[in-house]
Amino acid sequence: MWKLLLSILLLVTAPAFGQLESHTVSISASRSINLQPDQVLFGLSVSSSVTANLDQVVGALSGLGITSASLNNTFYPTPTTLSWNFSFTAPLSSLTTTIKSITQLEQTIAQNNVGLTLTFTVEGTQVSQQLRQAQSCSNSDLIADATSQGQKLAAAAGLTLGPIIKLTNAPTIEGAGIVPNLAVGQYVVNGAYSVGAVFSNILVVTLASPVTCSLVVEFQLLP
Amino acid sequence: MRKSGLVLVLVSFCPLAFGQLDSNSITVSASNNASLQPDQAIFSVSVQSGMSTGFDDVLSALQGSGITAANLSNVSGGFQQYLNVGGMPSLTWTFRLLVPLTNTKTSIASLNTLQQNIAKLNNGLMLSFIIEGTQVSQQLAQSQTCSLSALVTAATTQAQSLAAAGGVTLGSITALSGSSSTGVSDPYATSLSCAITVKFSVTRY
Repeated sequence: MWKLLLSILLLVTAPAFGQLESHTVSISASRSINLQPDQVLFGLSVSSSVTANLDQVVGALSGLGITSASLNNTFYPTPTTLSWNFSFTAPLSSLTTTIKSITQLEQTIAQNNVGLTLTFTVEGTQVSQQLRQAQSCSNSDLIADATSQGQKLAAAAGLTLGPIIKLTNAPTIEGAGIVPNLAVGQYVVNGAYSVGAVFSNILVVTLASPVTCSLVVEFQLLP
Repeated sequence: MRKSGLVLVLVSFCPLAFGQLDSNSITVSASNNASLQPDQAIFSVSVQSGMSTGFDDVLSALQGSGITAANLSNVSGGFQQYLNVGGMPSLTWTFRLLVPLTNTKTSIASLNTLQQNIAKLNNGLMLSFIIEGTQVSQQLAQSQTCSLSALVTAATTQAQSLAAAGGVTLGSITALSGSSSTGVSDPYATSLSCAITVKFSVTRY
């Protein structure tokens, strides 16, 4: 029994050796697709007195679907002011509508005179998780690529490519870029005065965001 | 109990073998790099608009330039631009336009004309552009093929040298590995790399 167990364990660990198996051709095939951004990332900044709490600030933003989970950071631009920075995304197709909603809320907050001031930025665009997940890798295309390359490689060595004996899936690689969202300065917004609005860096997948699918195909090598 | 212990000991030795070479074999990797001459200019075209301007309005203004929705690379703006455009908030729509290097002059002239036409409309849009740099087109990159026979020859020469140094005779090829890639994962790459690994059998004198 223990011999059987040992054999199974050794067989399982053998593929991890990373060596070229004899009488095989191993081809790593990959395909990259560039995705168009379909989302806009907004940055919202609420300036309040130091006595305001998160519930009050989030409550004022409820019309936008902002929750406490959207909070990026808080800081004190002046000793008497607290700045709350949030981010959220909207479909690119809804950019104008979303800006309109934020602008209306900006005015409502100012009119309510509750000691809050809302400002916003359009931080940039990104590829949504949904769009990235919708990109399915075509294994048949990857196998066709690997077969074509395997045939050329075997022929270059004066040998013949045999049938597929093993397939190994490789993780999909998603490109990403950092869009630095740093805005420091003095702004006059809605009659209020705020200093030093600073946003933290946010990971944004920009236009140059290829999704790369890979597959390792092992063929038998025939004389 | 004793048998189970033995199994665990043997398996724990397996990782030590991971980096080892096969007996009676020589494995060699061969590679070459081919430099590619960039054949495309990258234009970054920006349109500054009011906050209520939609994507369709911007695309409409760019008609005739060859820029479509697929060229959009970023949208940004908001309150930080209050101080930039006459005290009004604005959006900046950035597009990436790839043009054959040979057409750079024509493209600059076209964009200059479009810039002037948009300015004349006085509709709150403002176009500006820069040339970000150059790159190798996907077509050029894909048209480059590696000489696999040259790589096999290079690997064989290297293996023969190793075999001679090791006092063994090089035998036949027993395994091969290589790669294949489609699409441009790095559009700014200006070289094409090819690599293969070849395993040969060896016999002792």
